[in-house]
Amino acid sequence: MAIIEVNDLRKTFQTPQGRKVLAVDGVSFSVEAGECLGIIGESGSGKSTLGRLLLRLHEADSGSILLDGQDIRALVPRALRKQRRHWQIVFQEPFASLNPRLSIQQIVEEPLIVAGTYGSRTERRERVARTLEEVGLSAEFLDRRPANLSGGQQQRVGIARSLVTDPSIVVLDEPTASLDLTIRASILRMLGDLQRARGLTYLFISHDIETVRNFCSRVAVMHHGRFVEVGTARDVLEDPQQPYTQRLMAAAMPPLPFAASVGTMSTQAGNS
Amino acid sequence: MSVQGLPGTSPGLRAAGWAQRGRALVLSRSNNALTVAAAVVIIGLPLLALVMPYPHSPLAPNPNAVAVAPNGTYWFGTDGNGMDIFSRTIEAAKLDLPISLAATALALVVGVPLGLFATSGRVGDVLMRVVDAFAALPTIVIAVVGIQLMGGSALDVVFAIAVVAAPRFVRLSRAAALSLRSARYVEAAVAIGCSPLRVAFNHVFRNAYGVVLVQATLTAANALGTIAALNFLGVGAKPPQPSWGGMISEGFSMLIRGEWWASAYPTLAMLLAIGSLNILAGALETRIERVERAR
Repeated sequence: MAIIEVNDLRKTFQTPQGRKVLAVDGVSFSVEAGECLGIIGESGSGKSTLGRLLLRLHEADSGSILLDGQDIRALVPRALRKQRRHWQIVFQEPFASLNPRLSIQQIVEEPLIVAGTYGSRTERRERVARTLEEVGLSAEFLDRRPANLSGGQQQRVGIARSLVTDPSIVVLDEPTASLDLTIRASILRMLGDLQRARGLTYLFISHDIETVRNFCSRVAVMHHGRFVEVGTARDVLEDPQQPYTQRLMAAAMPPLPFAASVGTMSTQAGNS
Repeated sequence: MSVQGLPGTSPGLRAAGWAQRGRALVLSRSNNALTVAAAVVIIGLPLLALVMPYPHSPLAPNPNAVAVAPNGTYWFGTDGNGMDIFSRTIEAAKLDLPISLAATALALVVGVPLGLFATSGRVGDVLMRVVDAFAALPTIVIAVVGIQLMGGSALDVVFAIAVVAAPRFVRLSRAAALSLRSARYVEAAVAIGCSPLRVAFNHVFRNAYGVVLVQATLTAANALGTIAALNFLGVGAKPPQPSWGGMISEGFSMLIRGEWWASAYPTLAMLLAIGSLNILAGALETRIERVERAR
């Protein structure tokens, strides 16, 4: 059975001027456990809104969302909070998503404290240290504040925070968009390793076609709040059927030599 | 205690809990003489009133020493009833300062949660209109009417001043809550399953408490002035219980005869206390900045 099942999801926002904007307009899809669904689309296509609707960070107007077979739109707030540890999100802006006044230790430990089912203080701290190590941060970071970390390190903290409760589903909302190329590659590689090691299901939201091509098994193309094309990454990106997808592919930069694979990139760096 | 560190930096907050924060705020190395003096005035004056053996009773008049100018026996002179100004000035601090601090604390405890949670919906809108209405009324008038209606005990003065000061804290904390509501880390806090209460205090208030604390210190200073004004008008402390405002008022009629001391010394004491609170507010502001930036 699919781990994510979304049916006819709709969301309208009202602008301060009173104009109504259809952000998500009747979207349906499902994702199998352990799969990575990439969602691509230009700015304002509704892809980030979709990610937030999925975790009920925004309330949908209509439609149904089943996560792990649970109808999450039917959960009362308290029950929803209890379940949140299973469904996590990593945000685009690593620094803005970390409370500047908390230490890394506190940031990564908070999901465990809130869930209340992860044992004693010592057990929680061990788990925090273990998770930080998994994302490539040593114990020396525990007492630091977010402002004293680099962008890549901040995003690793954000990823650790989302993984510390051992979730089954992770929404990745452009997790590498604000990082530079070399860091982007290592973060993506790490996310891929973690997915395989933990059997995670990803919803990977991005506007970068090359990243999605390398990272996701299936791809959905979003435009004006609708899915215009869904399929395997190869089918959709190599042989787009819909006019919008064709235009999107044409507008994207032609594949650069270094974007083809990480191996080529390091050769290039060596030559220069 | 881990107060070591590079010169000019505060101790690193290892666990950075509220207790450690408080300790770092108080024990920062950067104490300058003025800040220490201000703290000594605010904490020391009421303590002094509690433990000091007065040279003369602050409550018993001496009919043989009416309106005596300051001299070796009566350091600050005596008032029109023959009571010692020095003893009364100190004794007044025992009441005036705690009332102002208690009123501020009450306003803080009531105002901050209201502001943090009244950010949206009907309830929030109605609350803000009520707050605006309160803020539009003249402070002294509400306080006088309120205290008269309630009876006039020291506790009534605390309530009246808290009611007048609370809107400020509602506004401040509501502004913080509104501006941080869309902050990414607040959204992240919701996403990991934090309750609204936890979001409000651990994420919103934690990033805004500096302004609120500074405002609280200034409010306490302001409250001292209000208390003095009330006592000057004869509301609040009942004679012979001394208060700075009441003493200034009593000494007022002596001024015309050139007997300046009865009003002058309580005025100085009051200004000293208000000035000290203002200095503390400034010190708090810079120090919170430094503690929060540590590490």
